[in-house]
Amino acid sequence: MRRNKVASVVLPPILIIIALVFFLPVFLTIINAFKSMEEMTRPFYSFPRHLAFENFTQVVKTTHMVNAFITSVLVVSLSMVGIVLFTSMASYAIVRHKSVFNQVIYIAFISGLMIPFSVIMIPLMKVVGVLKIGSMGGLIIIYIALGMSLPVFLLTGFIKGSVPLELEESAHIDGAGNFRIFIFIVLPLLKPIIATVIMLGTVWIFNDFLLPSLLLTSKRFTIPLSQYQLSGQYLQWWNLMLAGFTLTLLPIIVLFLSFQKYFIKGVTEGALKG
Amino acid sequence: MRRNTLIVLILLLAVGVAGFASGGQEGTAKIELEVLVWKQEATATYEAWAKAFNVLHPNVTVVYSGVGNYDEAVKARMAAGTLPAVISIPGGNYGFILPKAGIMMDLTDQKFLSRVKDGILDGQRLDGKIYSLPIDLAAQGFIYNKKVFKDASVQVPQTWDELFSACVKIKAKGVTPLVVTGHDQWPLGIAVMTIATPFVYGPDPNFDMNVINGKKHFTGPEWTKAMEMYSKLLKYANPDVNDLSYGLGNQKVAIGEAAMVIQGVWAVSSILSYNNEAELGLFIPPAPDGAKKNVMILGADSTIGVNAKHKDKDMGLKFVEWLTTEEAVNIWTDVTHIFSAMKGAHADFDPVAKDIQKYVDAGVSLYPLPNHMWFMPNVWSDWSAKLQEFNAGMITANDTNQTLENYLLEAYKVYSK
Amino acid sequence: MLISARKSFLFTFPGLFLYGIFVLFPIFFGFYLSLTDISSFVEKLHFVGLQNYITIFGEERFLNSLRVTVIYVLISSVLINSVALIIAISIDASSNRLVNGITRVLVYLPAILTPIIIGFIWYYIYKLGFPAIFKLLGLTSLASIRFLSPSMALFSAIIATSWMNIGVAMLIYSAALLGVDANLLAAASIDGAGSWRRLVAVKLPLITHAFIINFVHTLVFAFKQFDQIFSMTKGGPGTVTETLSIYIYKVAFKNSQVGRASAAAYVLFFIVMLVSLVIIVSLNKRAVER
Repeated sequence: MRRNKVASVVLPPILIIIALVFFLPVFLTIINAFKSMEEMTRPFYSFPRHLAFENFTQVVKTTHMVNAFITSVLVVSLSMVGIVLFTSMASYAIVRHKSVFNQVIYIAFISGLMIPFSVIMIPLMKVVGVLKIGSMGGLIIIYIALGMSLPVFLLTGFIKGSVPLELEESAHIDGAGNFRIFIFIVLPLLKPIIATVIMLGTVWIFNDFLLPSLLLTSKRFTIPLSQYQLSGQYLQWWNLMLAGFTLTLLPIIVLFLSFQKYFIKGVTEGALKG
Repeated sequence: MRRNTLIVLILLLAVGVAGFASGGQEGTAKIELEVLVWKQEATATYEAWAKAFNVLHPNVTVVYSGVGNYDEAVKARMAAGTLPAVISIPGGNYGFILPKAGIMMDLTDQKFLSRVKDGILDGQRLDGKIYSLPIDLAAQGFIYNKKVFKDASVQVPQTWDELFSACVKIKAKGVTPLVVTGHDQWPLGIAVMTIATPFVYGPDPNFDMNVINGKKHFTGPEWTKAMEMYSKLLKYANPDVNDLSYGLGNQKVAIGEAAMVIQGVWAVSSILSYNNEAELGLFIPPAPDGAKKNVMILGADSTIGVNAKHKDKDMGLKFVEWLTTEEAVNIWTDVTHIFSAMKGAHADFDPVAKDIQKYVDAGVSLYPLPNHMWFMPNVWSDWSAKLQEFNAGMITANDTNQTLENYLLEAYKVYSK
Repeated sequence: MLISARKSFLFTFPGLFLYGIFVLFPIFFGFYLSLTDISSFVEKLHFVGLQNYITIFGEERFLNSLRVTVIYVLISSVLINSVALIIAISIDASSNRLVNGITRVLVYLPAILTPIIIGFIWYYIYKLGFPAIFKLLGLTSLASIRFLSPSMALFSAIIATSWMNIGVAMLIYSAALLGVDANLLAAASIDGAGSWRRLVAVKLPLITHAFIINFVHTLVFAFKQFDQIFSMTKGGPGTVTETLSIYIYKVAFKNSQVGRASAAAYVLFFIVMLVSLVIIVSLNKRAVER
């Protein structure tokens, strides 16, 4: 098939320019993270005269970043285990057992996508109070509940479009029970979409500020909470804040780069066929 | 084999969550005392306090929460019924609402209150009672860069005319006389309120209640004069009043690009952080012409109290009491570099302390921090947002004053239900 | 059927249980609260029926937030989708895989950053960054624009938030374009269609699904947007950038009028559902027709 020759030559440079324009704000932030407080009075786009690595060591110490990172990792991984398990099970049943009840459940899950959090925040807090669920555990449970909607949407689409019923049916004929079929045949096939779910969910939970701020105390802060100390109403330590931001960026970028392939595949077959 | 792995995973999840969910209350001897805070700049201080208190009471670990979004944390915790044992109250009227909701323990008869500097407690009496301990002190006025003043041959103005001619002289030197930082909204409220105090609250400290009782109005001569002065000052201010942030404004004063900023003394450490060799002073807005006495805004910026309904309230009370001791006060001043409200606390770290002390010694009357006085937090924040519209010329001074009156009356209605 | 009703229930139960307690129940409870006069600090509450709804629709500030929100949502969605589509099409037409990869990563990067920090950063970019860069380039008239003034602030907010969201839409369009059946394209090519015609007549119609998803997604996201705008402008100057989300937040947490805020929140919820439905139904119809 003929490819447009002109496009092949002209487009790559244009795309790089576009990409750099998008990257510019982040780039500016990272440069400024290397400036000391006094250098902050110099122009925003200027390079630091002296690389203030002490910003980074200082911010790790002051905000107890290592502890916060461990807490964040714990919260994210436990929440994601719950989300992946429960939503894959539920989505599988919704697709393979067509009933009015399952349709209603499906709609209930999907409508969660449209709820702004402010709508349910106070009522949710009342529920939390009544059930007396404590700090970190409560946070994880709530993340699992709140994080169901998008995965259900993606998983149902993926199972419908990319998981052939024949495999399961023949296994069923061979005498395998539903649970076995789910774990050994279906789950492995769900890898790409689960990778997508993990990536989206991790970014959301890792970056979330509001819920942890309402449920956690300083003994166990997550990363966003620990960073917020650097910007008080009266006094801000910009250099530390930007340094902290740069550091917290790294794990997410690593995650994204490793999951990128799956993400695109998952989106193609999950979202678009749904 | 894989199925068993799955079962193990689920069990692990359940156990892990349950383990964390049981929270921190193991055994009756250990107490985790939680303090709801709002001043996240003071985090290092809270940690130092926690350590020191733990030495005295080894079974108590002090932790804190609420960093960054005090409003949401308070309301959400109230809804959940999980307000902690010790609650710190920022300026912004929670000093009215929280006691009214029956949450704060009555501290009026506590002996440790005698360690608070004279005259401070009166500003926070609610129906004659005290519900929280003042921690820090703040004054508000014109913070100025002494070097800029010297270079423009300007003295500290004692009258409004002197203030305006000082602005003219400074402007002639190519320096912005006054920096007004409207981007974060709250500094506008501080600026206008500071200007208004000698015209409104100096002559009549009960002005707000008089408005509520219909005897006076914000659209009356006092506030009209105040807004007039503010408008005049705006002519000497930076052109980008509405989108200059608090931090950037302080930076300008620090490096001498601007001469003055109307702020509370909390801004001093922010200014110094941009240039720790800046020489700063503070003067209060001049009295209206012909007035015999002047008034200075001086009061507690944040206070701390005990949750009367919490099971650890006794230990909470012990903690609050400990905060009045010399050890705790020294930690506060040495780490945060903010005035303490306790008697005998030193203020060597603060360049403007001497200026403030001079006014106190000269016998000016004192008015508590105004943003404590308006019953509900939204009056202050909505009014500050309205001031942005005033700055942009979108509404008149009279409209602004009328809106403020409406906000206050409505807030009082809600508050007194 | 492959799974019996009983088994289906077992599979769905854990997720449904948690979701029911922590999402569904609060949704209904929140709606109940919007019919009361609940305020944060008062123990008792009274049922007031639709009073809250009536009050807010008579309130200039609420109506302003509706106006701001509609403008914001419309312009953002169109901007995000058009830019994302253009980038996706360009990537599709370019065969340089390295460039494509880098572009995808850098354009998507903003989407994984914390919105609150992004708000801070964009304030500095608008206040210091752009003027400095324009001055450097000699474009002094552009350098004196005040991006956060009452007339410009909403537009600036749209640009900043779009920057964050273009990446996601672009990836979806990009993935959809990758999924177009090569045989169809080959057939069109044999019929004499050039690359532009192939694009318009073959590819675009085949990715209608992507349009639906992206439009609904960007619209819903724009309606709910809070963190980034709030940390950038706090809804100001005045109420120029006060969207419905920010209005709800302020009424709930500064005014403590939880009942009124809930009413506004359910109006928002209702609008979002209505708009999503309309889009899904109308775009689905067009897909079926093709």
